[in-house]
Amino acid sequence: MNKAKEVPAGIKPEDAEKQLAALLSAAVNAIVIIDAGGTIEICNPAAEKLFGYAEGELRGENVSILMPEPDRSKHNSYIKKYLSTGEARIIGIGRESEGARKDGSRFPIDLSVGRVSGAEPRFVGIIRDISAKKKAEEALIRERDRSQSYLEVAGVMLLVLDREGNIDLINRRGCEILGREEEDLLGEPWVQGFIPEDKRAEVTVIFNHIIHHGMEGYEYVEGPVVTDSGEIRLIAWQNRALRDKSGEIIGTLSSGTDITDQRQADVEAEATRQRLAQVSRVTTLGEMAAGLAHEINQPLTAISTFAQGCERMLESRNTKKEDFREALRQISAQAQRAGQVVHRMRNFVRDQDNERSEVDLQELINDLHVLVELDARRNEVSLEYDMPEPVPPVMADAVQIQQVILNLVRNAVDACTERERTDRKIIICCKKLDPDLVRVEVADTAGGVSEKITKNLFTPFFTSKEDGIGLGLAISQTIIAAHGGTLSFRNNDSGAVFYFDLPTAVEQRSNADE
Amino acid sequence: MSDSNRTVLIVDDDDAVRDSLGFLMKSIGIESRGFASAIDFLEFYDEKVAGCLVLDIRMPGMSGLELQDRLNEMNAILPIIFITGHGDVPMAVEALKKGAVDFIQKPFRDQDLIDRINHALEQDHDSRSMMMERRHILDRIDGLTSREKEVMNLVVQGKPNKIIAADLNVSQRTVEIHRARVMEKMEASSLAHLVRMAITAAND
Repeated sequence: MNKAKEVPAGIKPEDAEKQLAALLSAAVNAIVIIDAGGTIEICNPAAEKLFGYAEGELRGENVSILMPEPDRSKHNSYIKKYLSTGEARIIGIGRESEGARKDGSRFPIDLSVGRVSGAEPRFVGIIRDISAKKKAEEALIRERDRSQSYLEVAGVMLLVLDREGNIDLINRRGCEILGREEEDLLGEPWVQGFIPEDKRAEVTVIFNHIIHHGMEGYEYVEGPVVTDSGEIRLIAWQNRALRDKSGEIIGTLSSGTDITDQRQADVEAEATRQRLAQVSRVTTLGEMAAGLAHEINQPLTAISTFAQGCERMLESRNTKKEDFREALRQISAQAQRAGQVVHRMRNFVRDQDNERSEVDLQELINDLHVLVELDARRNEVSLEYDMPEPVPPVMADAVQIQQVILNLVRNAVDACTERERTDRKIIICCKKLDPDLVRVEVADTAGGVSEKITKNLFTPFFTSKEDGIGLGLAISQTIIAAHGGTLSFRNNDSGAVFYFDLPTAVEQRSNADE
Repeated sequence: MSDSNRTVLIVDDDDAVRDSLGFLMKSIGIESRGFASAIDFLEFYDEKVAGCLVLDIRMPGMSGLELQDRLNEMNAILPIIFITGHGDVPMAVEALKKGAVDFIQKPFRDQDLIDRINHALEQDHDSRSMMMERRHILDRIDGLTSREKEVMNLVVQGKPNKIIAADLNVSQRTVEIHRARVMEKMEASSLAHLVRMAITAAND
């Protein structure tokens, strides 16, 4: 009955034998049938070939020779254990294992084992060489590991969002920045979870635009994220749209660099520059305090002397009205002069924001006159202005530009003090260079800048002065550069000329329009 | 010297200050003349000009101190009052060492300046008088014969006629005649007067 069950009706047992033999020899996979003692009863040519044996060589051998250690020594005990406990480790399950060829070399196999029913237990094993598959798998794993390690070691944050804007992938750096574990992050809605509230609408618009219309315009964006501790970090993002085979956008891949510290450093550098400019301005004024007292003293002296003269004239009989009128006119004019000194001083020191406005450079130079003249006077340097015609306005921060001009004049004065008194002259020139540029020049008669100093002129902390800190020209150059100009110098016959050009306000506007 | 031809000379590059000083001088009836620079002043300057100089210590070009140096080189006797600003005291001290009569800090009380100017004008007047007197004495000495000069020299040393006669190997009578001529030519009212004139003349 059993046999009738095994062999389909209408097939004779001897035919079944033949059919089995044909099946075995045709099978691509190795097939081995063993008895309960592990002895090979039948094996097919594929088995012999796979394990490197000659035809018939395997029959009668223990199947364990097809296995490497430790299976080779233990195989009999596996069978015994199965037979005594009925506990199947492999039978009916199949697994990947290792085979050993006749020459001892090992290779990966896929092994499935079945028990052949009957009084005497026999087992059939089907073995498939999976070297190629293994190799491919290993390559794949290596590739995956490598990608994973790239992701992990990447200094940037990598973030994949799906079409709904949920986190699909985030690397270790991303987790570090956000201060959360990867498993907490996957599947979380990005905008709601990690964008500051006031930026959510904006980021949603950008994300939806990318999903529906593609990336253009949003390849690079900067924006804040909120970390687990509530800290705001500024991230610079490079974005790519992820597409499926049909080209439809299925999400976004973004690499983000945390630029918070860098931006903070930029802000601090800017603040430092401004502070230095302010310090320099204040120092300049400090040095001029004595001279300023003098400058205010002049009109005050005139006022008081005129007034006292008037008083005396009242006592005299033969005074003319005209004398009083002239004295009173002078008193009023000198009071205004003193007031202007104070006013300009205040404007000059005020630490105003760098607000740019249309500035008439000649007017600005005139405003500086009080300070510049002081310094020149104190050092017995004569001062000349060369402003042949009105100039168009420039867009500038008046205080900063004044700072630069004052600085250049002070340098010129310092240089002049090394010359004979009769040779000390400074010419401040402001003229239209062409329709789009206004030039300011400060020329001295101090013999020019020596070649040795020339190359370091604008280097911060380089100074040729005993009490200088070497920031004046460096700051001045920064300021002029920030205004779209260049601070340069040349030597002429009698001395050095420092000059800069600023684009006119009209020119700047037309550039902005382009 | 009469008050009428003394002038306060004001050198200050600040028009307003210069004009106000001129106005103050006018209010007290003193002639003044302003100069915008030391160079302008030097072009005008003549040792015959009497009065005083009111000089700004700081000026572009030639400073007040440099002008003082130039005037000293020229042996000018014009008294100088320096006008200084705040913090110029060390410069003012230097100026005083070089012979300036005074200095005054801006802004000043008119009376203080006027007092200093009056003092300076007096000093100028005195030194000019002394200079004039000496010049007169020297003129008179020039009018003496060499023998009379010898006699005068010995007289002012306090030597009696007898000794002088012996020294010069002449008669005592001859000495008496020379002595009388010296007193007359020198317009000396007494021996003491003659001695004073001799001292003035010897003073450089």
